[in-house]
Amino acid sequence: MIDKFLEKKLEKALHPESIDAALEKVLAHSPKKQYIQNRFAVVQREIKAVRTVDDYVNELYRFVKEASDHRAQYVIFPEYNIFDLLHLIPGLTTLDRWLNRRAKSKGTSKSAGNAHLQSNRMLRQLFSAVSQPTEKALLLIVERLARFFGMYIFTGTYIHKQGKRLFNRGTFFNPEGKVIFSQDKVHLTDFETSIALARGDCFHVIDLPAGKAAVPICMDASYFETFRLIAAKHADIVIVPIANNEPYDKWRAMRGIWGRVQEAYVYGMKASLNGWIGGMEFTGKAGFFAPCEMTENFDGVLKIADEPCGDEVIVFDLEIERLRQARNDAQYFGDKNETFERTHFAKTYVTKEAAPDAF
Amino acid sequence: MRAAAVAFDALAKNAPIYDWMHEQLERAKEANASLIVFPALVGNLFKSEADFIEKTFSLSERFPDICICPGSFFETAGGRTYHTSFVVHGGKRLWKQRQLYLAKWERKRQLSRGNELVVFEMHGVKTAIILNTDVFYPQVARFAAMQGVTIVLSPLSLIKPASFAKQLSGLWQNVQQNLFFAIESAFNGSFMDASFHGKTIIHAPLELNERQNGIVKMTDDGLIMHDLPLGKLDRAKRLYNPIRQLNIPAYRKLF
Repeated sequence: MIDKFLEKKLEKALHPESIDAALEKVLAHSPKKQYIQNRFAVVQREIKAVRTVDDYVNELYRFVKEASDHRAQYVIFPEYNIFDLLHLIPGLTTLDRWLNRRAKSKGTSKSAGNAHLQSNRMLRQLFSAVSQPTEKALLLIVERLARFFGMYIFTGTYIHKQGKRLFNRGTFFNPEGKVIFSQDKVHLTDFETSIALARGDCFHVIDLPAGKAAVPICMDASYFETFRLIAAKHADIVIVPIANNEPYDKWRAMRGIWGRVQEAYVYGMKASLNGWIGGMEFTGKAGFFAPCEMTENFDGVLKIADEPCGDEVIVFDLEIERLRQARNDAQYFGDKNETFERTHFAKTYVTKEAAPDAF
Repeated sequence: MRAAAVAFDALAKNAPIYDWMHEQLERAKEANASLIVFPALVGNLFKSEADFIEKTFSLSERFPDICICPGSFFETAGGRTYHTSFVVHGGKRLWKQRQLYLAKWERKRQLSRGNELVVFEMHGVKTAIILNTDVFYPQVARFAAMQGVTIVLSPLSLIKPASFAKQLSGLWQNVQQNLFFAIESAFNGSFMDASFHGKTIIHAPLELNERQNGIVKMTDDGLIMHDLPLGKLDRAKRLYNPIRQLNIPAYRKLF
């Protein structure tokens, strides 16, 4: 009952006519569209308590506009890019303020994360109820922005409902406003498992003018398997939208894309969501990463946001040929041991029952 | 379990490598360490392969309470040369590990690859040697973790140009992805026209060290020791354990 009520409320607030009207207001002057083909913009954005769909359209518009002003051909939004829209549910903003205040006053332990809110059946219902209206709204807005600006735009992720299953999904649009592909998250967090999200089962690699690219989502970047699978499909660019549910810590952040880029010899970039919702804190620095050898300080970081909170657009030009040269010259990359890999694959990827010590 | 790691810098002029190892073992013994790891390539500083093995056994007899991973050496067998490490205890070689993957400089010298990762029980704890270049191939550490390995011994020789970040992208990453303890001992200096530089580090999952950076002890020179909190590993795994969320059906085309 409650989920149907919420769905109806959101459908009304996010009616396509309202979105069209909001877009009409902002899409006034045509951009110059003189983009640099290998220039990417990753968005770091704070969750906003929007009051109308106009607020949300304005929010996405201004990031794309900023990227366009920087002549970036690509704009990447972060994971859970639809959290703002939950504030369109009547009463949720008040509840959210209370939950956030309570969580802040208790303090969030670095090691405990936000476990107090995990395994929540109500959240599953909420995600289910908001999935279709928020997906439709986000896709419509980004499709129009991509077409208007003539840019490639990754939507960030949203909840996609397929039958009774819910996926954490993101979609890439081309400058004609056509969908290039959608990617489901393949590795879930414990929290997402607790609310019974479903997992994707593969990583897509697509040909962009800037190079072959893939878009694994957040936790996917904690697994070397992800980048190995993507690299096997000859991707040079790995784009990771994140919404990291814990206070920021440099060392924790290094467990993700930074390490995978070093292992796989690809370019990596990260768009991040930050702020509070439902008593949960999200942090993360958007940025660009490359193998250590390609970076000024030999540290694997090309460009990164100054702070893990707040709004920022980070822009960088990728040099694919330079990356390939670095890969070719790398000391610790590219060797194969077919005997080891063949023999041990079966022993490595086993169930919890077969290898209890590992879990 | 008290583990020790040794950084190798230059030897004093004309000082035998054996004496240097003996000195480190004396210090480890005084501190009641039960495990010590020496840096990669140290075995190649002896007169010969046979000399290294004989002297290592001799050291092990003199320090019977300490499991010794004496670094690594170039092992010749069946007309091939391997980059190899091992563990000795009580004067006997118990476990041997040949490096599975080769760095570019090792391929140029036509070294051969081992075929298996050996998992063994040391003082009742599942252990493996992840040797040198293998730290940059994360499938090796994943294999170890899935066999339930709790301690990784890792002699290292990181070729220049190197950096602290480059080193962290090896074993440190593996520790955080797989949640085990690791003892990494680095060789600093020159060998066969190549220069090497690295830090000697005792690693733990972030959740298990006070500074929450995964680096429990670190040095450029000399000996470091630490009591590995083996009993706390399960707690760390409850807080963060990516292995729980492996998506095995998605890995069909991994290799």
